Amino acid sequence: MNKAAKVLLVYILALLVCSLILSWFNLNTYYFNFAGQQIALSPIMVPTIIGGIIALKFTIPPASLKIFLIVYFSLWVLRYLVLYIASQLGEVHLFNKVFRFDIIIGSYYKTVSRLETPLPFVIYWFINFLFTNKQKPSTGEDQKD
Amino acid sequence: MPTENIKYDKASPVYNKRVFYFFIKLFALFSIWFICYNLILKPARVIDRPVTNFITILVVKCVNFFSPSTPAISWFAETKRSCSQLVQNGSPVFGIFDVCNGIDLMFIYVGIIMLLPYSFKRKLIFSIGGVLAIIFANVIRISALYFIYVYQRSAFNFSHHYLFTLLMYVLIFYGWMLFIKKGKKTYE
Repeated sequence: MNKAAKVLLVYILALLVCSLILSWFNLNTYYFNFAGQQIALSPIMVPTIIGGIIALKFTIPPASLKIFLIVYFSLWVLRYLVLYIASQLGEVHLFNKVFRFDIIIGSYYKTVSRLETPLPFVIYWFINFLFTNKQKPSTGEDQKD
Repeated sequence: MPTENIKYDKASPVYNKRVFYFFIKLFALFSIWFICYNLILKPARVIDRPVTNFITILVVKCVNFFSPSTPAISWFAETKRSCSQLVQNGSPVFGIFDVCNGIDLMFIYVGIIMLLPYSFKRKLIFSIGGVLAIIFANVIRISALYFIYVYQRSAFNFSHHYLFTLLMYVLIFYGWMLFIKKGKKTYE
């Protein structure tokens, strides 16, 4: 098993242990008011983010990690900015229909960014590995070609 | 899994054009998916209804196979809510909602495969294979959740929200790794 796979496995196992502990103590989702909206905050996000950053630290070059961290935390800031703007827009009447922009935009951002899941870390490592790794990750078909 | 030790080229640029464009394309793809899914597919349940029903049928078969001593379960599709219900002794016991059918996960898996620089044939094979694997894993997941719900309800929330979600992520990650393991990038 290669280093990256080991790191991913440890990351997933650590998340499972953390989620088990959080479930054990009934520490589930918390809600807080932001710009008139109830925003869900799950405690599992903390180990997801910290664990993801540690996992990336072990598997990608420092320069790439720096870029990731800048973009990742900018996306979090942007999330709350977008939610704030959306809440100011609220309901919009267009073509005889009512559009709840506060819900639509929040849902859109959540779907596109997936910030609350381990996916940004996994996908970034994967893409970084694919495009910047000097060694070819393959043996089979490459030899035939 | 690929090579034993990952070695990075120290001279490789900090800004990688391919990585950057990949994420731009991924963002565009997710946006298109969000709009199409929420405006067209979700309201009419164009994809959700057949996928949820298909998964429910397989879950019913799976549950009946693994617990032959208990009364057999059947199912029906709800008309008011976006879900199917498992029925035992004439009463609903377990709901399978559209959000549980794994379409979102299939889209992430196939979307990323489609954006990678490999041959279309390889993408098609891995997309179909991956979607089948996700459906199969989802059937096992929902069947396991049914048993946990019936026999160990205190563990249901943890299993539903964390355990199986993470295992599904591991599955799609493994699919991507297999995809890049033996293939030639189109730009090489």
